[in-house]
Amino acid sequence: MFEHALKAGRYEARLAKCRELNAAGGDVRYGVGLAAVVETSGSGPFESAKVVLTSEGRIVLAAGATSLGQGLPTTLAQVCAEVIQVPPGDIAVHLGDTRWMPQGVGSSASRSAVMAGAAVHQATTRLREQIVALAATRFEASPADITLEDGAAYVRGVPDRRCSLREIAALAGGPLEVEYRHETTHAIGSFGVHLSVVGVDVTTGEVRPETHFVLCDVGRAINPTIVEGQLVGAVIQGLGHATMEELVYDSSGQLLSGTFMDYAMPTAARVPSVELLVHEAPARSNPLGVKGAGESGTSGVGAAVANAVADAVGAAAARHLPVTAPRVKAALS
Amino acid sequence: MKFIGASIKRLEDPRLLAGGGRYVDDLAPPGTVHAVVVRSPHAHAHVRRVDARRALGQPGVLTCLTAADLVGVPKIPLRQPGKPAHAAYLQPPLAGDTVRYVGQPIAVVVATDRVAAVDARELVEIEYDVLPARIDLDDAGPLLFPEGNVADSWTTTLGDVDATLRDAACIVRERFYVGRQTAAPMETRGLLAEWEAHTGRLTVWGMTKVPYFNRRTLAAMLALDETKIDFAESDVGGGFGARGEFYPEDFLIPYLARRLDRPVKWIEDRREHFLAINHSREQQWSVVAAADERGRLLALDATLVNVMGGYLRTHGVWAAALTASYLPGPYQWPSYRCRVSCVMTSKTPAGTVRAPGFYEGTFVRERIVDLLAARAGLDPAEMRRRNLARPDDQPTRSARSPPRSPGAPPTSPARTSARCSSTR
Repeated sequence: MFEHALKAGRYEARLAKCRELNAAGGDVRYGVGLAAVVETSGSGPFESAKVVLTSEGRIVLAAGATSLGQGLPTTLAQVCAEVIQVPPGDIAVHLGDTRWMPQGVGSSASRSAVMAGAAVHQATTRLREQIVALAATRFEASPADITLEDGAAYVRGVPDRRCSLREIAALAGGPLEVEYRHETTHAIGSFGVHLSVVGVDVTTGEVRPETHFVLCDVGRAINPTIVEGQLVGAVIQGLGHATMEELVYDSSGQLLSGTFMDYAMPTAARVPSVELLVHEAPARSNPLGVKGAGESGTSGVGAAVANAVADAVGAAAARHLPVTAPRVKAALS
Repeated sequence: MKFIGASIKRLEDPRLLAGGGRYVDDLAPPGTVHAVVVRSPHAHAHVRRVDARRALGQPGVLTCLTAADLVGVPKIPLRQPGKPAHAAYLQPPLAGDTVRYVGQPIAVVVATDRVAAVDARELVEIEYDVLPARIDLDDAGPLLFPEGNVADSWTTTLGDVDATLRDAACIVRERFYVGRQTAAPMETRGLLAEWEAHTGRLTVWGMTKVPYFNRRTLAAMLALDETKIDFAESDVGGGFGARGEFYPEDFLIPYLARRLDRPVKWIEDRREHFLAINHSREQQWSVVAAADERGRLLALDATLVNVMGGYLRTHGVWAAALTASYLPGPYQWPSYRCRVSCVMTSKTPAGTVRAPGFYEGTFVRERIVDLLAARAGLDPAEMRRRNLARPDDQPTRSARSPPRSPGAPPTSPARTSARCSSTR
């Protein structure tokens, strides 16, 4: 996997290009930095999910994990949809709401897709079994011959023997509800590689990230676009932490960088190209094979940027993160 | 149809992109009143007197809560595993006779509208005896807690580092520093709490991230049955590990809603956010490491000072514990030692932000690997190739977990062994 990252991240070619640019002289020196990372995800002790077939035939999904903008309602709806074959957009999702899900943990430490995903998968699988059993009785068929498709149960190969989920709820005499608690004592480890290319202006000390490549093992991507979005966002946040963001205090304890004028964050104009290689080596500890993807895009950024700065202008400039311009300039003089 | 593995568009986006999001500040039940927090302007001081009389005389002002109103209310507990000695460093919801960082809550003013509350905040008179602050760890500095300025310290060891360092062909020494940072979600923190007197039920919006721990904590601090509290979902403008932990306001706003029997809203402004939300990452390092002449890693000997703030918050010393546990990373180190100390300062308390401990430790380890590569005359890629636990395409095997630390890290044994056996 490391070799794969070197190849996909074009390590040798980029190193050669930096050497060539540096040989030509100029105020900007270029460097390449590597970092190998281990991340953990999917920590315990548990997460809960509940899936309901309402008497109107709707699917309602609840979990203890919370939606913070990371795309979790969609991700969990996809897991539920896969099992019960209802379009994801037709599933109502309630996250981190104690009125819907009285027991749970929440979203931290790259755990939601792993823990809540597994809980949703197990709860929905059990609900599916109940639906299939009701349809099998209704059609006097074997449960093995019942299939779910587009919000209804069918006898396989006999499309007119169809029973909507609303009719299933009526057969059940009311709503069906399954709650499942997915427990674990083991977090999941995953490997990743970061490769950063930076230019360092030796007259100002400014570090400009040129490219940041990440190879990340996510186990299995439930929604590849969401995973990529998480990774790109994580890299950019990491670049902010590596090159500009800092809470600076004076000697009396006053916070000097307490506004967006002073606490510099990466804006679109400062963001380099981010290259991703998403590796999927399924985890064995959960039914979906998922590993967390929330943090591995951040964890190696400071390391790879610092190594690239050291490659460009020497180790003295790479002792302190973030590698801000004044700090790098001071190290070079 | 296959839905797992499909790049469908996010179902929540059409509503959010069309302005249909409902964040905490968009919620306004009838009768909602507004809270603002009076915060310390000093990094370390004795609070001699808090006088809210002028503030309370302003039109629209309903109350001004101070520590004197909260006698018997417990401090905010740890969410992550800790030690009994950590209790001395926990934060009370409002400062009593001592403030320990700029921004520490001292009082809360509630008024019928936010403008009146902000104006009245200026009229709360507080007298301080300003004490020396502890910012730079190189100075001895003042004693911040009677129990000492080091909240915790321990050593994680594997193998005989000292013997290995004595005999190694290549040795490097370096000091590192990781600056203090935080998360800056687009939506600052915010809370709305509504008390229903006739049923004795409390509903709170804005508790994101870990609602169940927060509900248990709130129930204990309010002395209210947990089943009488509901945390309700709203849209959230980002978390990144910092937003959604249990902060002083997470007690104060629900407490005020019950006391006033009115819905109470508090929305953090951005300046407040930088002072109040958990900071993270600040660490000082001194590292010695060794490799043999062929570039094989032999020893990693690190001293980590994790720079805490004025109190221990819900994470306790978790970020430092993660750092020391995972510092070895994916390599085979025959010997490893990390001496950790968690040192209190007069800054905003520290917690976690995205990839806590991993971001910091990866920086230190990967710099050391590059320095050893240079010393051994190897390309950085070749150095890693020679030392990765399984340099083949078996990612889950090369993701090697770190050695178990016998030096009593502040994690429960179950948790530590769980994390250490996380190779799969």
